[in-house]
Amino acid sequence: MNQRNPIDEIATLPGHATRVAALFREHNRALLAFLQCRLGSLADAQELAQEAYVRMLTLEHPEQIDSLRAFLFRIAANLAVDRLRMRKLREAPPMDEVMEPTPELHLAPVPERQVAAAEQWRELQAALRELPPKTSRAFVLHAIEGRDFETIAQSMKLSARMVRYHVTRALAHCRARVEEREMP
Amino acid sequence: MAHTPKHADEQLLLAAADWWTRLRDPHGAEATMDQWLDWTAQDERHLAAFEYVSAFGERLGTLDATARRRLLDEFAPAVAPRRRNWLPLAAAAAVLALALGIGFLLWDRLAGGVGAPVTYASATGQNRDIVLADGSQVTLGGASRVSVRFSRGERQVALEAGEAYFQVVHDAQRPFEVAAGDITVRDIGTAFDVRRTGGRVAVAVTQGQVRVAEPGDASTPGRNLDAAAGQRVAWDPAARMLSLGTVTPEQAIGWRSDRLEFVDEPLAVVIANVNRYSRRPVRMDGASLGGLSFTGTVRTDEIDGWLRALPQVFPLQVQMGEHAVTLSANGQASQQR
Repeated sequence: MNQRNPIDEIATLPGHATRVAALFREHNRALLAFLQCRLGSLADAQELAQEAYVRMLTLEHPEQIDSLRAFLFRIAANLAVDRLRMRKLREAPPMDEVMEPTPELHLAPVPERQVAAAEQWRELQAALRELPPKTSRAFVLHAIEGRDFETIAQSMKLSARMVRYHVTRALAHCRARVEEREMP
Repeated sequence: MAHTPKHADEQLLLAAADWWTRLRDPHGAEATMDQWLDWTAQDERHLAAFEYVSAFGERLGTLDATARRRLLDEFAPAVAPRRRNWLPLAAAAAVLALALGIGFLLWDRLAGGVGAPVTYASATGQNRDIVLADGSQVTLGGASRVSVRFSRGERQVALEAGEAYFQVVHDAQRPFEVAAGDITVRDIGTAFDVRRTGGRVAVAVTQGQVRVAEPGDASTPGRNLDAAAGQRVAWDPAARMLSLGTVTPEQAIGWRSDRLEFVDEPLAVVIANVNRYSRRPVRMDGASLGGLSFTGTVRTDEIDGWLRALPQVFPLQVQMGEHAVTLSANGQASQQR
């Protein structure tokens, strides 16, 4: 785990800091998993988790909080919402910049990377072909294109619940089919 | 970690994937997060499976632009094509794909090819409808799993866990067979339900006729038993015997409308089936309870109420825990206190 853990640095309220340290020990793994799920990035998850602990430690009246665990996850969830909103703003550039190619397109990948990535994508393609069209469509739109369930529901004329259902099936299926491999 | 979750079983993956989508829903209630935390606390494999799924989600979200574009074009093409100048190329690609597809089908047919089995599974508490390649329909009960293997001469389905209702498109040239535990069920133009509880299997026919085959061995082939609509065949693995009874359609497939029906079933079997729908697993403390016999209906959306009422019917106590429900015999529970 990261050694620069904020708990060692700030200890304004010793009793409270001990409790936050306990939260960190017991729930940090779940917190990171939760944030990674929300953000699709472990690096961002680690950053926001640190931020969440700092906020926990600098609370004005920690004694008024019923469940510190619930509070920690609520802070983290709010931070995640803010982060996603910021990303959306960055991803929607003004119209005159739209035609700029993304950096990925002109950065030639090194050959091994290319091979690993190509294999990974072929496995994924094969796994997706085994699924009903609606299931693979909902999944690709959400997990690869990054659209939210509501938007997909509207475009596919399904309920958001059904979209989630399709995404769940496809995720479990593809996860089982695609070999574990190092990230390219 | 001693085990990578690579071998995590399908049910666990499905549960983890379900949490993944629930947590990503921005409208998800805060309660979802609490329930998820409870789930991760239940078993250390849960969080590991979730991390495994979540890391995969990250990889998918960060695929390179080329792979992304290709996957989108194949699996989520825009309804109205926007780039008109790409059409001729796309059409050519489609023709090529079609030619390759036909080639593969021909090859598959000629080779009498047996495709790889395809597995379908449902999550706890959820039924699932599936249409197979031949048009036959399968409804899976909660926490159920079938694997399907079709070849030129045969349609084979294995019920690996739980319960499934089959509405079979009849094809005399290509029999439809369901293997469940020790026995096999062969359709003769039919709709039927198969419920598997460990080695115990119950087949209820709602339409047409089926032939249920006992397991045979090298010297003696197993006996066959034909059952028609309204009949129920039960296989008891302990007695190694098939028995024939009657069944109403409500009893056979009530579960499709949220009612599990039981006629004179051991409580252990009832609980195992209820667990396919229960958010909290129900455990029986002590084997003596398992032998009690139960007849009645359990609503899958009212499992807690049913559990709370059990002490009125049986000499047992119910403890509703946060993560599990425990049934214990009356005497036994008082000893623990």
